[in-house]
Amino acid sequence: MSFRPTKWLQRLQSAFTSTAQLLSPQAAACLLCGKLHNEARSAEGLNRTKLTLRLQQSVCGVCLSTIPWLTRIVCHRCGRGIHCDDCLRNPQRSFILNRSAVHYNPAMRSLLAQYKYRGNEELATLLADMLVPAFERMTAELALRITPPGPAQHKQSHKNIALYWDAITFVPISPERALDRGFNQAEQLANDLAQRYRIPLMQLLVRERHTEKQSFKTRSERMRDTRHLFNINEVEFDKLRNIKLTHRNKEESTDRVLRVLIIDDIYTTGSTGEACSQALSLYSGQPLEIYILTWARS
Amino acid sequence: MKAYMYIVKSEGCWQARMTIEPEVDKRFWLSGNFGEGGVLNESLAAVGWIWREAMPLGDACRAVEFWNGEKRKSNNDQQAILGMFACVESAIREAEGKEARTGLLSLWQMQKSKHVHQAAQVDARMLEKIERWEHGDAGRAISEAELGKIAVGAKLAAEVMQGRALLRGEAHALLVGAGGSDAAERWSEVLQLAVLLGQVRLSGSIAADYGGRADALGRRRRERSCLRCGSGEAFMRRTACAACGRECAYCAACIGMGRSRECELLVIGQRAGLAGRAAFQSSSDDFRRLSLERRLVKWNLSPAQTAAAAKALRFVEHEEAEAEAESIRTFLLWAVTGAGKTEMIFPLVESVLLRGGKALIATPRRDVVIELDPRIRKAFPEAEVVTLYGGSEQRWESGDITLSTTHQLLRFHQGFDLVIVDEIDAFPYHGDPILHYAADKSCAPGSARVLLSATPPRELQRAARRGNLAHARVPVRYHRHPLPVPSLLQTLTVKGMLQRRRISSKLLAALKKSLAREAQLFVFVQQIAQTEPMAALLREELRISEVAATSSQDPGRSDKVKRFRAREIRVLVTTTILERGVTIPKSDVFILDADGRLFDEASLVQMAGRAGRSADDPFGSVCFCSKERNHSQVAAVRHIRTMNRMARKHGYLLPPGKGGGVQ
Repeated sequence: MSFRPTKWLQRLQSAFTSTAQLLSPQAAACLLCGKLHNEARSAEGLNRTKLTLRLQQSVCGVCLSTIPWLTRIVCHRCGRGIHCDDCLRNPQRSFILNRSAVHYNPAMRSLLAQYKYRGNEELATLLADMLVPAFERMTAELALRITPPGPAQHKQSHKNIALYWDAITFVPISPERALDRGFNQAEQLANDLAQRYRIPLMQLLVRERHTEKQSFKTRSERMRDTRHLFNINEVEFDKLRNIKLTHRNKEESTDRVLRVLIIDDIYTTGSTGEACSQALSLYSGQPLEIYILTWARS
Repeated sequence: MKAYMYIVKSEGCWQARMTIEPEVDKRFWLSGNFGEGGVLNESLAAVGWIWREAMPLGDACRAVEFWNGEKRKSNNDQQAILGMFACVESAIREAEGKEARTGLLSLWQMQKSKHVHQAAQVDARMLEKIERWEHGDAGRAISEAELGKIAVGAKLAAEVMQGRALLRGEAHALLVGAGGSDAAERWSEVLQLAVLLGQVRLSGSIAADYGGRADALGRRRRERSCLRCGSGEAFMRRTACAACGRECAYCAACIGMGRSRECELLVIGQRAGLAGRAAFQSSSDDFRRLSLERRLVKWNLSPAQTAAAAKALRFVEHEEAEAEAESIRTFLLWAVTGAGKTEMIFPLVESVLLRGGKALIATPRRDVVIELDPRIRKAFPEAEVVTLYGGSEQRWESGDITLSTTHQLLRFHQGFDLVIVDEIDAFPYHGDPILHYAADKSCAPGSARVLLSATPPRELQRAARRGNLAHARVPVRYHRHPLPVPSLLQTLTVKGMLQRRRISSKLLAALKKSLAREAQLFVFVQQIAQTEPMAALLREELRISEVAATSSQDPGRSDKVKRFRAREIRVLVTTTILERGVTIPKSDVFILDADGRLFDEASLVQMAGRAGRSADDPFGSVCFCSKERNHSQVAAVRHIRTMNRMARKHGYLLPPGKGGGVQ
């Protein structure tokens, strides 16, 4: 190899630029649009105190501002942002309520597709972080239900939030799907949330049959197909009971009902959530309150 | 997914293999008879052992690699079984992140080399983990009728998979597309049989990367690379995988083309290159005896085009005889904008088709692929042309000529005997190692690769100048008029003009002059956000309504270009997205903020190349408008002048009387 001074100069230059970059404020590629962004700038201006730091760091300001947060809830049962016929038609539900983080608009649809079907698992933490504000609001709502507001209401901390929940579980996928996709999106979201708040993560449900993808089916097909789709993972459920018992003995928790949160990626007709809740209530044999938290509400 | 590892003794020699359908392998080795498919294996195995438990695909492949890494082959059963245990154990240990080269493996090696007989013995506990295959026990797990179907399917699969590299899902879609619904239903058995017949290769789509050093086997355990896109460890993301039951890596670099994963199957169809196909040679020999010039006559090329095409043709045909060197041979065709590059590649494509080979024309941009399609079909009416891009309907077809975006090349493996890459300096090909890897991978061994560009990247220019790279330069356009030399105008920045709501007077005068001569006006700006406001401002200042703006984010882009061509739009404000591939007769080019960061020399030359392309109006004008004169602008002007000078020197320009040589 011959000695080339230009090559050296080039190297010197690249070494300089990379060193200089170490000094510049943290810039990272936005997970949604791929453009480089400056974290400090992306978070400024808007009120984003509710968002996790990780979310603010990984998504640029432009993308953050286009997320269609579902904050104004009209149907208090299923958490829809608009008037909801489904809940009028079937007032009997086995779960208390559903809350979702975002509206399922085309942008969110493609984001979910990126994660779920394309398998870009880097997005898992992002989606989980998006659940956080909805989860905290949901817990606050729950707190109001149990104890009416009084002067003693104090600010929620992570520990307080954990006290309201006995377990987080998730909608399972069939073994065939697991082989094909390699991961369960609901499990990943649930796992992230459970770790953040230190709430036990339990796989209370198993999927009995392998069904076609829900997204290819009509409303009535979905309703019919999801009946008796889930069974109870008895070992895990017994574990949950035991945990509750020990907690009750220690008088850590104030109320006697078993309260479980089911996580799923998307709530459309609610039939999946209903089927899971039904299976859980049928098996439980003791007061059980089921809440559902989904990433998107269509 | 999961797979199995087994060993068989065939023709007195043990070999290890990986399978995704052990029943097919068992049948193949022990009976060889596939119902209606006939006898497919002549060298049956006397005995075999299979590891009962399915392993993650990557581990099974690794275990086979460990086996093949040993030069000496065991010959007695005892040693073979020990060897199998050693390999499987090492593969699993490696996956768990432990040192692979310990315990059984070294013991096995010692036993083979020095006849050490102590310690390791095959015991009952070991035998529980493996199952014996014996001659005559062909298995009844698959019925005769089904075996026949599998054999037919395997033939089909081998045929359609040729030269491709596909992930499991894609291979399945290909089989469905090829009309083999039986084959698609039993895709795994079909592919497994094709593997046994030596026509397909199966592996995990991400594999260990030893940095090319054989002795590093098992040492750098965590280093992985993507076999499909060539990305290394930096792009590997490890997650818990429900499909194989352990932590496994996926490639974040090529995830847009389907997820490549450690336990995901990569199916590679073997294809014999031109060298191995003598059949067509005789018919083309007569043709090749003709002189190059006479063969080129039919393409109606200009003198400069003919000279370059002849040089390229000589290179392409420069006989595979010398090409037993398996390396890919590269040729650079450096032709100015509007030189008629496409016409020059026709003879090359024809040559490879006559010899029974397959030609590929790839370009980074989808728009260009779609535009090339009708031209290629017109030039080669007899040939089967397949056009590939994201969302193309011909996804799973195969033809004599393949037109493709560079991204689609990820799905090929040594599939073409002539690879032509157009616009090599364009985004996203330029500077993207994945696309370069894909382009390299799609060339059959010993095949020729022709790179086309008006503005080759600096490394290639240097290599060409130093004689390290075979090349031909075409310094003149097909109409034999010189390239329009840009004039430099000092104006306000685009931002300034938008703020003051006023176009600089010099620029305005130039624009009006162009409009007066009935030209179509390209106005290039740097930012997408500036296109619409600039169009509005121009509409106001020029007092015409036929002004439009477009960019990469404009869904109506192709429609606007069409209307621009039809002269319904007179002024088109755009970004570098239209810097190449668009030919508008009688057009003038104005580049605003020409001193901007995004416009480098190549990009300026390309944009300038939009002017004066047609023979009817070869003298379009080009204006670099900027606040400051910078290196890129000066270099671009110098580049264009050099090309013109070279054209004049070679006598390619029309004589002055006919309008040539006018500056």
